Amino acid sequence: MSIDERELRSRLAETAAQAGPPRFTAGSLAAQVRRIRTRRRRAGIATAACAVAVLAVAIPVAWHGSRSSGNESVPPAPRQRPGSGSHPGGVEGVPAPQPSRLSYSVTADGQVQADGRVTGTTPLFTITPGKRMTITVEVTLPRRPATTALWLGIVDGTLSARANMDPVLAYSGRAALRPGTHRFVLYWLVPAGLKPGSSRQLASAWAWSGPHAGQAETQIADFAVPLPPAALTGSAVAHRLRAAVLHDVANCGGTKPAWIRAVRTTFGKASAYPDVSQGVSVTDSGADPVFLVLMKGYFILHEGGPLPNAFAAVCAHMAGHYLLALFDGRTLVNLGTGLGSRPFRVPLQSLGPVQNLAG
Amino acid sequence: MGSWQQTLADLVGTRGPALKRHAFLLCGDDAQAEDLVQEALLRACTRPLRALRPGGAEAYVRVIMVNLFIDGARRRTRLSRLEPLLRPADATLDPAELVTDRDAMLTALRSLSPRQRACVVLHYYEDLPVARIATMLGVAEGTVKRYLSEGLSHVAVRLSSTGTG
Repeated sequence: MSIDERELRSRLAETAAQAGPPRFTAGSLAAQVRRIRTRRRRAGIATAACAVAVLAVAIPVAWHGSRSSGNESVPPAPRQRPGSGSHPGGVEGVPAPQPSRLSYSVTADGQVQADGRVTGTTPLFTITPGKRMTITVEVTLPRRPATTALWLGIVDGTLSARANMDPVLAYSGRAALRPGTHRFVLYWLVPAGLKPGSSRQLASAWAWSGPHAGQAETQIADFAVPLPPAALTGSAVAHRLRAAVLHDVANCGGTKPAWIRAVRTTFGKASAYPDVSQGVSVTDSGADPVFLVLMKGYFILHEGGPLPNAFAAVCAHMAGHYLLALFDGRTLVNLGTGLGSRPFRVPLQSLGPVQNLAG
Repeated sequence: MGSWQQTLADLVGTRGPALKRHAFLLCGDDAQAEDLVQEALLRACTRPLRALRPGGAEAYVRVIMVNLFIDGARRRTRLSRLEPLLRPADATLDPAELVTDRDAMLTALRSLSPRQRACVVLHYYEDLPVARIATMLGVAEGTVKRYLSEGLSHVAVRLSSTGTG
């Protein structure tokens, strides 16, 4: 062996001495360390946010799945279309992102209806043809996404953004709207030619910015001309109810019902049954007269057809053999609809004399 | 200034040249040694669950350096198998490489495997005991002894063949 350990050590030391001094500094390294730590911290926050989002989606889906496997009936839907948002550049078959949520409080000519935010229903106001109405609307805007434009106007059954508004009673869009509650006082001259039983709706359309920018519309109040008392009794009301029901079923794309049964009661009594009151808490409108209508048939969404009322909101998602509808007792305006694959557990006989409308 | 920043400043200020020399013996190249030391220091400071303590900072950085060198050598070995295919036929060696090759000791070290070289440098240059080297590399003491024996033989043969031993 031509080298021993001592010589190897000395030669290694000589070789190592050829290395130049470090060209890096502690400051440059510390800056790199800070950048790496910041990047990891952000990645950790993003991972945590993703985990929370996954849990937020997975838990309701699992919960919904366990519920729907037991009972497929749908509670009466309030007359609004929360899923009616339109999204520019949306792809057919891909669900559009949820529109931003606005909440409303409406009073009309001193009539104060139950707050829609509490009852889950759209307030209904009676109107007089030819009269000038003062409507006060309080709109609460969310902080995110930012609302960039807002329209309030009257529509005749069909919601289609602001295109169907006639007239447009308010517009706010020259500057981004601040989050919080905004109060609008609207004046509307009710058309003189409106017949008893006809109705109009106060609708709102709004646009929002952000990564999922889009626009949506919803119905926030109903206006209806009351029917004369004579039209709300006996065969006259049965005829009108049947016509209203069949009209709604036709809009829904359903077949002619095998049977239609109706009973006159109050909103409070009808809401005492879970199949009717799910999602709706009865407040001061409990004494209002209503017609509760049950029918059997086959009800399914008619794709692409006009969806003018509450039936559209329900039928847009599913089909069923049993339909429940609640009509206002003075104007016969539809207050809410329920769709189910099983009979609704509502004993009509206990609420009053049952009318058979199928004949 | 935070604790890791103070430790880093002390380490670079007082032990930076020693770390660089250690890395130079491992890599055999000044630029690679510079990169190796910086990478080891960055990793030591950014490990989320292991804070850089003032007392054991240098030893910890040396362990990272050795492991980085061995891991990097594995990657370089894979690339070196492809190098004859990638290099043009008429390519000539860089004059700087020729100068470097004149250094017999570095040439001898390059002939060792990465683990052998790490063991030789740690034992004969850093004066670390066999047990400590075994712990650092995660191998048995007998394995370290074998690496040292083989490494010493290879270096002796290389140096004798170049006539400098």
